[in-house]
Amino acid sequence: MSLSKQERPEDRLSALNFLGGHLKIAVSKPRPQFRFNFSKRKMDFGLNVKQFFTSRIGKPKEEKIVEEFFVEEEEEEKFQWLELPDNLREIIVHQMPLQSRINLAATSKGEREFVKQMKVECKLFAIEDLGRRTTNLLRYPDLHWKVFARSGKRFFLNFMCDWQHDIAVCFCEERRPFYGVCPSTKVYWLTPAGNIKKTIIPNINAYDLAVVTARHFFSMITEDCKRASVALSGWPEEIFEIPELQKSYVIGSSYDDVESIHKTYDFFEPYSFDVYMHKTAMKYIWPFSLLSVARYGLRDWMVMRRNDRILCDAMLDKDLRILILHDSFVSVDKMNQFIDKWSNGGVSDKFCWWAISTHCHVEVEEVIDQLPITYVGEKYGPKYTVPKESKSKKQKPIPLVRMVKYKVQSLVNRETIGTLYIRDKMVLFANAGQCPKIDEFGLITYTSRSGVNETQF
Amino acid sequence: MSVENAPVVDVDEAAIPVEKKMYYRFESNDKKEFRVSELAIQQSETLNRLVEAMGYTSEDVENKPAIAIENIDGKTLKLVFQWCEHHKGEAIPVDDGSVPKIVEIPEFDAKLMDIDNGLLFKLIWAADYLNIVQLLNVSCKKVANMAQGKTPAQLRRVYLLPSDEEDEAAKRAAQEAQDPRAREVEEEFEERKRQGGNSFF
Repeated sequence: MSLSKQERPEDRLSALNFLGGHLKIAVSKPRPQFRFNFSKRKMDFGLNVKQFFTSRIGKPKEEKIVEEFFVEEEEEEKFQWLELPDNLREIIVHQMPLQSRINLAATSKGEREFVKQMKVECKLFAIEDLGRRTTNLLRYPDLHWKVFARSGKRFFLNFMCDWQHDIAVCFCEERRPFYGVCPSTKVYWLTPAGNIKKTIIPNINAYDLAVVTARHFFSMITEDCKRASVALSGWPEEIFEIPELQKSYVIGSSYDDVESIHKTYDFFEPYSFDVYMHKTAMKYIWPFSLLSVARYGLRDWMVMRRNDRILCDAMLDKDLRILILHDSFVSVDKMNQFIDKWSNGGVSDKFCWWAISTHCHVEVEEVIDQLPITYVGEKYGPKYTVPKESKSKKQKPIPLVRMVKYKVQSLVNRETIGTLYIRDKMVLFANAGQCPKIDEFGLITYTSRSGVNETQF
Repeated sequence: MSVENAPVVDVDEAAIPVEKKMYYRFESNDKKEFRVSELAIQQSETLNRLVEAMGYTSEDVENKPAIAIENIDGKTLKLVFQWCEHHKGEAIPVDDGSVPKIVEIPEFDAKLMDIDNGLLFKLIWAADYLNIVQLLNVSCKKVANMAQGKTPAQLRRVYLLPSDEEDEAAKRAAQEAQDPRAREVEEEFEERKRQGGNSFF
C-alpha cells in the first residue's frame, strides 16, 4: 500500500510548506549506495555464527524484537476539537506556540485553512546574509555550528520570534564555480525543540527562496511587527516593498555601501536605526584595503573612500531620533559640529541620541574641542573583543579602556543639559533626559517603541 | 515590633456596621443548587447582568426560587463557581480584540482543571456561555498545551481530527445522501468506462 501524502510527516512538518501554502518542498531522497556495506556483512557473518551456537550465546534475536514490539502505548485522552465553535477554537490556536500551530495545520486541509487565517504576533523578524551579519545567528548556537562552519557556501537566515518561540530557517547555497550556479537550495530549519531539520528545494537559489519565505512570514504575522533586521547586499527592492516591513520599529541593517544606508533611512524614516558597517569598513582597513585597491584601482578606491566618508558624515544631518552606527567613517569633526549645533539649538527636539563607533582612534580632546561641557566622571572597563573559538592558542589579556562622561550645556536654554560619553572608539551623545544606560563594558541598554533593546560597543 | 508583642485592643464588633453579604442561588440543568457570593458573580458578565436586571434583594434571594441555568450541568457549574469564588474581586481582563497576550495558568486553576477532557470541553463551553473571560483564557490555554510537542499524527488522535481522505469520503457520502441521483449517474459513468466507451453522452 502506498503512503498517502498525509502519512508522510516530513512533507507536512516543514514550516516553509505551511507558510508558503502552495510552496512545494521536495524532501531529499537518500542517494543510492554503490559501495559495499562491510559493517552489514560483518553483522551477517556474526549472525550466521550465532545460529550454530544459540544455546551458548544468549537469547535468539527474535525474542528481543518481540519484547520491544509489545511496549504498550500510553492511552491519549481525546478532546472533541471539531465540536467547538470557531471563535473558541480561534482563542485556543492563538494560545498555541508557532510550532504547535504548524503541526495542527499539517493534520488536515480544513485545519490548515483555519490556522492560516490567524496571525502571529512577532517580536523580531530578520532576513540576513550571513556573510554580512552573524550576530543574530549566535542566538542559535546549534544552527550556527551546523551551517557556519562550512566554507565556500552562501547562507541566508530568516527567523522570526513569536511570543513564545523562535522559528529559524537558514538557506544554504553551494557555490560551485566550475559547475555554474547550484540549482537547488538546502534549507536548515531549527525547530523550537532545538532539532535541526534539512530539506532540499530544487530550482531556486538561496536568495530568492529567502525573499519568498520572508514574504510568507510577513503574510502571517500581525501588522505591528516590533522589530526587523535586514542585512543584505545592496538595496533589495523586493524586500523593502513588503508593506508590513515598513511598520517595523527598529530597522537594523548591514550593507556594503553607504548609499544603501541612506536610501534605507530615507525610505523608512525609522524611530531607531542600528547599522553595522563592518563590511564597508573592511574596504579601507589595512591589509584588507589592498584587495579593494586591486579590485577597483587606486584612483577609484580613493574616490570611493572620500565619498563614503562624506556620506557617513551626512548621516548626522538627517532628522534623527536614535542612530547607532558600528564601525562607521563618521569623522570626529562632524560629531563635534553636531554637538555644537545642538548646544546652539540647531537640532530638532525629536532627537534622542546617537552612538557612533569608528574604525579610527578617537581623541577625546578633538570631540570636546570648544564645546560648553563639564566633566562628570570616568570609568574603566574591558575593551570589547569577539572571543576566539580556538582554545589552543593563549588568549591575550583584554586591555582596559577609559569611559569618560561629560555634561553638555545648551546655550539656548540653560536648563537643558545633554550627555556625552566617550569610550574607546565610540562616542555617545544624548539629548536632555534621553540618555540610554551604558555600563563600563560598553553595553548600551535603551528603550524604544519596540521595547528594551541592547547593543554592544 | 513583632506581631506577638503588639498591644491587643478589644473591639466591640456590634459597633462596626457589617455589610451583609448576599449569596445568590443558582440551579443547574440536573437540579443541583449552588450558593454564590455577589462578588464572585461579577466574574461572569452574563450572570452579573442577569442579577442586576432581576434586582433581587437579600430577602428575594432566600424566598424566590433559584435562578435556573439550563445549559450547564451540575458538575461543570460546580467547577465554574469554585473558580469564581477563588478569583472574586480580581480585575477582569479587557478584550480589545487584539491577539491574546501570554496566559499563565495559576496553581489553583491547574488543580481545578485536572479533570478529564470531556469535562474540560464542557467547562470551556460554560466559560464562553457565562462570559467569564479569564476562565475561558486559562481553559483554552490548557487545551493549547495539549498540542505541545505532538506530531500531526498524534494531534489527529488527540483532537479526533479526520485525515484529508476521511474528510473527502465523508463529504462524498454526505453529497450522495443528499442527491441519490448523483450516485446513479456516477455508477453509470463507471460502468461505461469499464465497457470502453469514450463518450458518456
